[in-house]
Amino acid sequence: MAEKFNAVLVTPKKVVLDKEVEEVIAPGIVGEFGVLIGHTPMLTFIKPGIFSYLENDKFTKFAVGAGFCEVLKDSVSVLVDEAYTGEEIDPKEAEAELAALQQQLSQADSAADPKGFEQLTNKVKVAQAKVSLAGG
Amino acid sequence: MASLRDIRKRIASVKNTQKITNAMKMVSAAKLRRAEEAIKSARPFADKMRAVLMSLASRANPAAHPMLEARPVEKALLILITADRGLCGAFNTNLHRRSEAFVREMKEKGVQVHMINVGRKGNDYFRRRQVPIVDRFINVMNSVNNELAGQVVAVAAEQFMSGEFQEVYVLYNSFRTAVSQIITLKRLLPVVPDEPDTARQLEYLYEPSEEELLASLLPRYVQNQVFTGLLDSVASEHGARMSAMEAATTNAEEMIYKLTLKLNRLRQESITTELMEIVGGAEALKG
Repeated sequence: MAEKFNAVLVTPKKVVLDKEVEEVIAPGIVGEFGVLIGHTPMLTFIKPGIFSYLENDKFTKFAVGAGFCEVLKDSVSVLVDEAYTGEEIDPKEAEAELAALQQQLSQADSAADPKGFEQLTNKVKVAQAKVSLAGG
Repeated sequence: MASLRDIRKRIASVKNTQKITNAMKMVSAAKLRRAEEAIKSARPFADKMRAVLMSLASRANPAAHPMLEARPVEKALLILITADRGLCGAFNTNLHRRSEAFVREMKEKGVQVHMINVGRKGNDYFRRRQVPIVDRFINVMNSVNNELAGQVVAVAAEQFMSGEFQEVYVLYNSFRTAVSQIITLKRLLPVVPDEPDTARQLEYLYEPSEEELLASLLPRYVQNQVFTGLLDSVASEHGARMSAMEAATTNAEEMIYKLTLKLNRLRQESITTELMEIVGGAEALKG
């Protein structure tokens, strides 16, 4: 069994995860990355997607929003806008949300309101992550 | 000398007041529970963010971002977070006193202080005093959210970045327990690490780049600090109001007790006097 390190996942609403894990896989802005103990210290943005950690040979997944992540030698801190576990998501609701957001996105004008468009894109990505998590 | 009627009226009036204070206490208690939950769940995120930012700031070159740069201070900006309403004990008064002390302290150092007021009470107080007010946000405490913090920070950050002000402070009541608030004064800008640890120059990766991370994280950090300050203040306000109203209800109870005692005494006295008069009258007739 791999050596463990401390992983923390917090949102402005609550501490979602704070425990000793073996591995963390997070959606970084320049690509998904995995972290084991002894990783080089690093600071990076997190883009909306699936965050997972390995504990006792079992992966647990979360759908997360945008944020950032600090990796230190013996700990990982992930700070994101939102995070959901698989049980928290109702598949039907998530799909409806995704459809509604995609509808909005197709009508949105990226030139007129680049910031709003980016936010919307992010929301869609979170919704996609939620759907894929709920689906399996 | 108060008549029986007067005392009865006063008892009725105190009883009404007591009903009001008791109701306010209940309302505050309910609101406190929600506000307490909000601040307690927001704290871990804020603390973590602070820790990350501090370690980032201690490594980063101060010239990498204007928000990191400490400049000679001539003018400072104070964001004062008070309540919109009174009837919460010394909650607002303490803040006023502390901010006046702060303005004096800074003056001695040759720094002029301007203010941003969040909450009606602080604005009312400083409107008539010799402190220039840059901006005000009043009647906002009922719906504290991240947007509000964003608006406040936008004003402060603009003033700071334009070079108008060299430091930004925030003053608010920090929530400890329902009955204790701690006045907290924090320097918001520039972001300067608590203790620059040059010893710990480890190899460190930034993705995509240090500048981009700083540019995105610093404003978010500042906004988050103000947001937690607002949440702290709201929870403190309800706590302070609850204990103030609790005290008022107890005082009313005591007052009612004393007045009732007085009323009964007066009533008995008048009965005794009347009896004496009747007996005296009867004696006189006999004689």
